Amino acid sequence: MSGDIDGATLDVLLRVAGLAPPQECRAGIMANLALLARHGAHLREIDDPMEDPAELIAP
Amino acid sequence: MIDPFNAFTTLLPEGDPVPDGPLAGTSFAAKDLFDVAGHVTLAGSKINADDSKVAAQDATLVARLKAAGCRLVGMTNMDEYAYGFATENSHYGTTRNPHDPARIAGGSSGGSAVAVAAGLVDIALGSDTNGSIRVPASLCGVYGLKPTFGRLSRAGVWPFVHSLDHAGLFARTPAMLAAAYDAVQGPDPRDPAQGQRPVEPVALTSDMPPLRVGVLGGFFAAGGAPEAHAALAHVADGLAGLGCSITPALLDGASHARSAAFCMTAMEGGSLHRADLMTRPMDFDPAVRDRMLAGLLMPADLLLAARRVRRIVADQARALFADFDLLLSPATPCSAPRIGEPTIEIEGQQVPVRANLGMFCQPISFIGLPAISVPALLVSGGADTPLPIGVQMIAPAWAEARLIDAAHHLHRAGITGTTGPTP
Repeated sequence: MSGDIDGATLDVLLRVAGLAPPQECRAGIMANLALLARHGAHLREIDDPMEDPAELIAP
Repeated sequence: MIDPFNAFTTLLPEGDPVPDGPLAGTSFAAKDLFDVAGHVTLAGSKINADDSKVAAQDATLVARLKAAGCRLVGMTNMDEYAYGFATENSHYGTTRNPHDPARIAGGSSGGSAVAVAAGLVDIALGSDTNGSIRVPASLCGVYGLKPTFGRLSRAGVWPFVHSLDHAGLFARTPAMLAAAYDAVQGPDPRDPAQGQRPVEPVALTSDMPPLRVGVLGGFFAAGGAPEAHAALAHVADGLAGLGCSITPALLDGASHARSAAFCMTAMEGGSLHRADLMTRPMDFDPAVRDRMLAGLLMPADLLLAARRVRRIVADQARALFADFDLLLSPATPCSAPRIGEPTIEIEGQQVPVRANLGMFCQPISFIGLPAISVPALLVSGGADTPLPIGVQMIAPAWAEARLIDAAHHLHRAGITGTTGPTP
């Protein structure tokens, strides 16, 4: 997912998610989407789809 | 009681005498996401206040402190739904740092940290999902313990991110922290997610054990203001003086863990509040709302990837603890920023305060390890700062007692401790 999205793409994402936030939320959502996309790309650098993501994280 | 720093959302009348017990004569505050019977658990939100659902019983940790003889004074301010590191709450106001009221207390358990730092209570309950105990402990100059994931009961605690939420404690001394921790630990049938551990009381030793201490480099050394690294060096030197060995250590996946925690938080937090985000988005704090809405738009595959990364980094940390008993890092990248300051400088770049004050805490809570923020007492050289700052000490899973004992020796030696506006 690209970091920066345009308004039309945001409309699609919101529609798919069933959300219709007011206009004044859009800038904040887009800024946070960009942040999440950057962190998402970073975490995938060490992701291994074969790893067991068991929820019990403490041994 | 006077509340000059806006630490509390509710102050309780003195009420009935508390029972006798190991904490007799002490008082505590609870972050306003712990249920207190007869009161609405606000969780820093307008929505919960409007819904007016009154808690039928105390959260388990509240009940256990009361049963140990500790008197509940009130409930404390926080970032809305625990999503933030500032306690600049758009509904209940900003909690001010007792060391400089023009500066933030840190968050999200800011009111709890301030209540302890200002001497208004002896003990405070907080929660820590990404650093929400360790960050305000660092900025307010008190001890803040985030135990192992699953150690303390979360029954009656308003959730934020179920996969990452921890309950924990603040105090002005490690001895008080140990007493409070012992009073609240132990299995709780009300919390199905709690780890099945017996009560493991803290035994404060008379002599510092010769621990193998690793100072985390890499991600933990790259960012942060000079005072954060000066505090770290001060505590490492202090531990060396107490007979510990100090060597560099590396947690390879730390930055990836932080990114995974960042994504998981927005996605799970958004999912938790989806119904209200759809029907009453303008009732949220705007900064919280927009982060959660963005989280709701990310692909499910990203959440699965984040969970896998947690396993990978947890395994790295487990291997690291074959060589170390304790790890050190800065608790926060800087001392307390000014209220309203939107950004802090990290590595020459301006980054948002709310998202970045917990950068050194996030990788550790993400993999569930116990950690404590200890307030460094800097007394010499160019490292002097009028503001407190903490150092994060990290132990293997279930080794909270080791953390508190090490903090006890640092405190006793005058290397860490509370200063300033305490009684």
